[in-house]
Amino acid sequence: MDFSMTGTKAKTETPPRPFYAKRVVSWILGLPPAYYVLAILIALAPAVSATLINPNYWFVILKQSAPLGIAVLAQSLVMRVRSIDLSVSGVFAFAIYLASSGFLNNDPPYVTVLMPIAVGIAVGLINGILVAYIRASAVISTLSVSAILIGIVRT
Amino acid sequence: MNTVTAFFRIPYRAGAIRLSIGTLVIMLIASVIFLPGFLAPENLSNLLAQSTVLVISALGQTFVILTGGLDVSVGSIISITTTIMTLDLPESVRVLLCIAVAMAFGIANGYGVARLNVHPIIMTLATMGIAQGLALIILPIPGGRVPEWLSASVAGSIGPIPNSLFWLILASCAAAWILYRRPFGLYLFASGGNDFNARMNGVPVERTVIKAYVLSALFACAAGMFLAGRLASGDPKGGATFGIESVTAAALGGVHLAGGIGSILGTVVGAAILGIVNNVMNLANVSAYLQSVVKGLLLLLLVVSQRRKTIGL
Repeated sequence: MDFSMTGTKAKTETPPRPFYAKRVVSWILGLPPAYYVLAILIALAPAVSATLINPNYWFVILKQSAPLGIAVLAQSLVMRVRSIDLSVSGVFAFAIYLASSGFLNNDPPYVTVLMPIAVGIAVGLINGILVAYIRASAVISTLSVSAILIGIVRT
Repeated sequence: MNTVTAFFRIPYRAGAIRLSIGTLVIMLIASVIFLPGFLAPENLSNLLAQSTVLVISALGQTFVILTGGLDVSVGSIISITTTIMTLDLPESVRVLLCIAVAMAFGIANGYGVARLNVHPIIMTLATMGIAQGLALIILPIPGGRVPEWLSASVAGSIGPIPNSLFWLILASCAAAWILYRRPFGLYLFASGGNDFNARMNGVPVERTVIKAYVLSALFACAAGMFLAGRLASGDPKGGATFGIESVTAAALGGVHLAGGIGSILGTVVGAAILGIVNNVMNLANVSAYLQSVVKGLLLLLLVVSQRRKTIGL
């Protein structure tokens, strides 16, 4: 017991290593591969097409990929707990339907914003209860919720 | 004969198969009583032809789900098979090419999942994209012509029995033989149930997983050939929905998506439930979008009533 205590103490008391370059290199190597792919793509973009250098074009790309980015943020929350949510597309379609159809035209604008959020919370609650309490299969239950939502939107 | 009895007995580690069989029986009785056109021979052969593709692809999917994985690329492999069958090559070369392509995709999936430790959904999504792209390169729009014997073997009938029933029975007997009469089947249950324990007991887990993905791709290839025969042409997007529908069918039949529990009989029953729901709602003139709502509700009901021990996929 004593031996191990002194051993750990001796270890913690070693001064920090001065090799900052080494730590920077290991930090860079530890980055997710997506960063590298993005960097390579940005580097190669001018070679593919000259319009890709134009900053206005960047904002077009940004505008196009913003919905996907937000959906990915949502999905990554679920993936943290080793599960999957296939109903994202269903909620997406349902929110678009609620916000854009004439369904809520007579209400004040804040209802148009709050209503999809409320629906999203409700759907998420249903999914969560199904997966966590009832222990249904996450793939199947969220898939069927998505099918129900898309079916409701289309009718 | 042994294989046939193995197919009809309630097998070991079958999950909630009694529930699925009960649902199927109730649905059959209800549709026979309430829909007069259901028992007409044309409708029954139509129903069979519609659901055979689903059954065959779901059988392959069962092997993968038993290992605890998921194969989304089934749909694209079906599509690419139908397009290869319309290529301008000798017929035997086309068939061999289909099988070779399917095996290549299966090996790629299995290698990625088992050796490179990629998550099954990500890996098969990637190969799904590749296969879909190749299918669209081979045949940009639906068309072409498949060999005569293929469409004849799908559309014809021997006496009163339609040929699709033979396809179905052949595929499910083959799957049952692999799962219940081969050491590989036992390895599948073992490595899906508990990876570590299986390895400790000498099961070649990696090889089993790779073989499961190859089998899934080969069954998808068979399903694609059936689809090509049924359409009598190629369709680069004809199989797109089967990737997720085959998972659904297997899950309806009591196959656990966590792995290690499931059965061939259950998968066939699950696919039959899906097929009958589609058929009945088409007969009753329900709109396609309402059908999707009803199917989703049914799926939720069935999945909710299957108790599981752990939270998971």
